[in-house]
Order: sequence, then structure tokens, then C-alpha cells
Amino acid sequence: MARRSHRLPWAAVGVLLVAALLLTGCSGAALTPSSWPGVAVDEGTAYVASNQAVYAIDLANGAERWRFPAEPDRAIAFYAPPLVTDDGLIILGGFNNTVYAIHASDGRQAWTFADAKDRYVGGASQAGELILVPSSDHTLYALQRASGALVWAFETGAPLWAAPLVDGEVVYLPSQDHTLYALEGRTGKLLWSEDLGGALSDTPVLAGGLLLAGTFGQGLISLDPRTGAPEWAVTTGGWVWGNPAVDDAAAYFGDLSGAGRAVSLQDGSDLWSYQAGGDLVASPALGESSVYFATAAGVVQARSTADGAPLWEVTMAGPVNTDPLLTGDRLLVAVAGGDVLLAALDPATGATRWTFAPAK
Amino acid sequence: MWDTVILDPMINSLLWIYDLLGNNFGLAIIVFTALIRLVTLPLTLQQQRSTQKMQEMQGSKAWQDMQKKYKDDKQKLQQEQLKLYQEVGFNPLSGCLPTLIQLPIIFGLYGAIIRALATTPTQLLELANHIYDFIPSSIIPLNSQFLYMNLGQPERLYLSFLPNIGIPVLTILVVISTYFQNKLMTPPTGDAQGAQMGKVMALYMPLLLGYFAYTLASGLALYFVASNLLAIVQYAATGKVDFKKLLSFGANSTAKPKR
Repeated sequence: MARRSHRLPWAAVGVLLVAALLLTGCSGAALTPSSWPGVAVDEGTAYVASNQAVYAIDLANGAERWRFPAEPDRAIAFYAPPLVTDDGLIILGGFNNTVYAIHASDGRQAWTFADAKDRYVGGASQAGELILVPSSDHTLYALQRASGALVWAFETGAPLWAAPLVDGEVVYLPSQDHTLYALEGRTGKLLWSEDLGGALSDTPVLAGGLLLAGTFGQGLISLDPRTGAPEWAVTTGGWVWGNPAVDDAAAYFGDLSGAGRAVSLQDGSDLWSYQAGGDLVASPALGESSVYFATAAGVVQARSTADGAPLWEVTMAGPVNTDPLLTGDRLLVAVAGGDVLLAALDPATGATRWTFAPAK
Repeated sequence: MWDTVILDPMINSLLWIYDLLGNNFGLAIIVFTALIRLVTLPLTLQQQRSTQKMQEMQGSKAWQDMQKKYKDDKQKLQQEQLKLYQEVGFNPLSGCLPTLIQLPIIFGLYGAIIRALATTPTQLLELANHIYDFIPSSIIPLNSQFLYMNLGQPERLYLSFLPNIGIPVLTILVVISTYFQNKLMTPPTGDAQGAQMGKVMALYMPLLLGYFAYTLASGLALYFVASNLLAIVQYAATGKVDFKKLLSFGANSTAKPKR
């Protein structure tokens, strides 16, 4: 009797494996980080959330003070900008649907909150004794600062990717459901809401008695903070992802068509504009007489606030979609997907003061 | 090149359908899959004709005699098979070519669904750079809710009496529909190696797609189910489907020689 072969037909197995690789590879999701770093600072330390850790970095020299968690945990990924609270806690949500409170002094965990059903992309805000954390599960969670216990929750119609703006007793919540909500901070009760015609992915700004919000639909919109009634709008050629930087007279912002611009706070009229040569996702940082834009192509550009004249530009080793931060005499720039995670630049010249690359 | 020719048109067609259907992404996936199946119908029919011709040939006496005669000389067997192909005017590539042409479309469709769902900032930024001007930005972000599912997340059904156990309904449907599709549409073959390969595919393909459905966004699982069901319907419309096959388990993929 002939012996029957039970060997696997490797050609068939090979076809399946190639199909699997192609299918997962086609999404482009396998190798690309899900978001870009989140950055916050206090007096002497920068806190950077990027992928599997939150790093505390000495602002004087770029040295690492601590990281959380101390050992990498593949189940956790952080991209939300950390919140530094009055009482020395660092609070941020992760892609594992959990909010972490960490002691700013040494990186020890204080508490966690794990009730959300989806990931955290946006940063948290502090409203007195409450911590407000926006989740991709459409809900804003108000937690007790000391314990992380849930106080109230407010649900919207789409993911929340940006920290709410707290102004006294009122909380302004931007949602991807195209709506800006005004809530009573203590209870989460809705005061008013306004459909802005496009998704909102960054925190609105209060300036000159106006509330300014960037949208994916109609560009930059200004509203009356008491009622939500629109005042003026600036139509843009691309989505406005970041929020504007504002001074007494102007709002500075960029859009995904690569246009960086300054508009009058009074009526939204154009003051100046320029082409950055790449998507402007990050909100610009504002200095005394300069405004700093960063492009998704990794170019940081300093422009004069008066007329938009170029001052300097430097190219980083990866995309810069995180808002640059001006702190003292340093411009902090977080880079996505490169070896260097954070660079401190001289705001006057763009020269590098120090860089931080996490030890592996 | 891939983005410009395949991916971008697919993403934008999907978004356009989504807009037309009142912002229902689940329905958009089903309609889009149906349209793609319709567009590739001539290729599918050509492939089926070719498979049928191959099947007839493998059932012929000449083919069976050849298998017996040259069973110990594979090289000679291959030469004789090629000769027979030429005699009956059959091109063995005519079966693979339509499949090969369809592959980029299938991968493109998969990529389009993944990119359109855009559940992270990086994905949304990527999507923004692929959207044509005529697509209204007001549809962003897509409403990923379909029935009880979030199409951007792996699907689980939680029943009120089983609140802690998520039932992966779509995964089960993917496994069953892929198995049925293979069972109904894989023709019997006279070639032992081909039969073995068919068996492995029939077993592993449902498991592989089931794994994808279990772990990845449920929008993909919905696409797998829609695609499988539409393929079966399309095949049934040609009048060749034999539903009795569904009840036969075991060695069914080797053609018996015609007497």
C-alpha cells in the first residue's frame, strides 16, 4: 500500500502569508506611530509623552530625570499632552483607555481611571479640584484631582481629541462632532452649543473678548463666549487643525494647505500670510516679536509678527506636528518618528541648545 | 503611483458614497464592495469559464490516461499536459490573470476602508492629504457607528444576560462565509497536489480572515462578509452553484474520472 504524504503544500501557506502581509501592510498602520508627541512644561522640567513612555526632561540641559513607566509596557501608548497640576501631578490619558496621574517629582503613579471605552488623544485640563479628560469615546470625564474618582461625564456625538478650555466657571469643549460646547464646570451642565460646520481638533482660545476655534470646515471662527453666537470667520484653503496663537491685535494660525497667516482680532481681516511649504498641523508659538510655525515636513520657521517677514528656519529630522513651546529662552520642538524626540532651540537664531533622544 | 492610481480614487469613491448615503459608513462599505464586484464581473466570469474548462479537461479520459501513464515521470507529465492544453486551445494563464488583476483592487479596497476610518491623528492627517476637493470636509470624521458596532474598533456583541462576554459575531460570520465561499466556488480538480492546496486554502483562509476580523477594525470584517456573500450570489447567478456541497465534509475537492 502506498504511503500517503501529509506534508503541507507550502505554496498555499506561502500565498496566505503573503496575502496577510500585504493586507496588513496596505493599511500603512503597521509601522506608523498613531500620533505625535505631547509636551508640557513646568518651571524646570519638560514632560514629553511619546509612544510607550512619558519622559521628564531637565530644561537646563536635556537630561532625562525619570520616565513612566520605568520599564516599557507594550500595552500602553501615550500621545496626549501631559497636564501639570497645581499640586505637582502629571495627568494624561493613554491609548489603553486609561488616565494616569503621576507624581511630577519622581514619576511614581498616584492613581488611574479606566472607565473610558476608547483611547485618549487630547490632553486634560484642570478646573479647580476637577480634572477634565476628553476621550475618543465621545465623553468628557470630570475626575477628582486627588483620587481620580468620577464626578460627572458629558457625552458628545464624536471623539474628543482636544483639551477643553477652562475660563472661571465655564468649560469650552471642542468636539469632532463639529460642535463647540459650553458647560458649567462644577456640574457638566450644558450652557450652550454651536455647530461650527467642521470637526474641532484643538483647544479654543479666548482673546479680546472672543472665543477662537479652528475647524476642518470653515477655517477659523470667532464666537461670543457668553452665547456661542458667531462673530466672524476666516475661510482657509485647508483644515485648521491647531488653535491660533494670539496677542493684543492679531491671531496667528496655519492650515493643512500650508498657509501660515495673521488676521486681525477685530474682524478677521488678513494682516499677512505666507506659504510654509508643508502641512501646518501644530499651533504656532508666539514670542515678543516673532511667531514660530512648524510643518509636518519638519521645518520650524520664525516669522516677524509685524509683517510675516522670515527670520530663520531649521529642518528637524522628522515631522513636527506637536505645538512648539516657548519657555524662557528656549523654543521646545518635539519631533515625531526620529531618534531625537525633543530639541531646545534658541528662539532668536534657531540654533540648537540641546536635544533629547530617549535611551533605548 | 499606488496611491494616485488605486488608493486615492477608491478612498474618494468610498467617501462620496458615504456622503450620498447620508453618512452611513457601514452601508457605504457594502455598496462600494458591490460596485467593485460589478466592475470586476467580466474578469470574474472569465476566470470561472477558465476554471470550468480546466475542470472538464481534467475529467477527460485523455487526462486521466496521461496521469496514469506518466505518474513516475513528472517532467514528461508536464510536457504532455502542455501539449494537451495546446490541442484543446486552453491557456492555463487565463485562470490566474483575472485573479492577478483583481488583487490590487482587493488590496486597494482594504486600504481605502482602513484609511477612511482614520481613528488616530496620524491616520486622519494622512486621510486629509488624500481627499479630493469635491469631497465636503463636513463629512469628517466619518460616523463609524453601524448598527451596534463601531466600525473603527474590533466588533463584540454584549448581551444583557452576558454583560462581561463580548461575542465576536462578525468574526464568526467571516469564518462561516469564507468557508462557504471556498466550499461552493472551489471546483473539484483531478490534480492531487491542487486538491491538497485547495483543502489547505479552504481550512486556513477562513481562519486567517477570521483572525483579521477578530483583531482589526470591524469595518474590514463587514467588508469580508459583504464580499463573500456577494461572491456567492454572483456565482449562484451563473447557475453553477451546488448548495449540496455545503453538507459534504471531507475529500470533495478531487474530481472523479468520468467513466
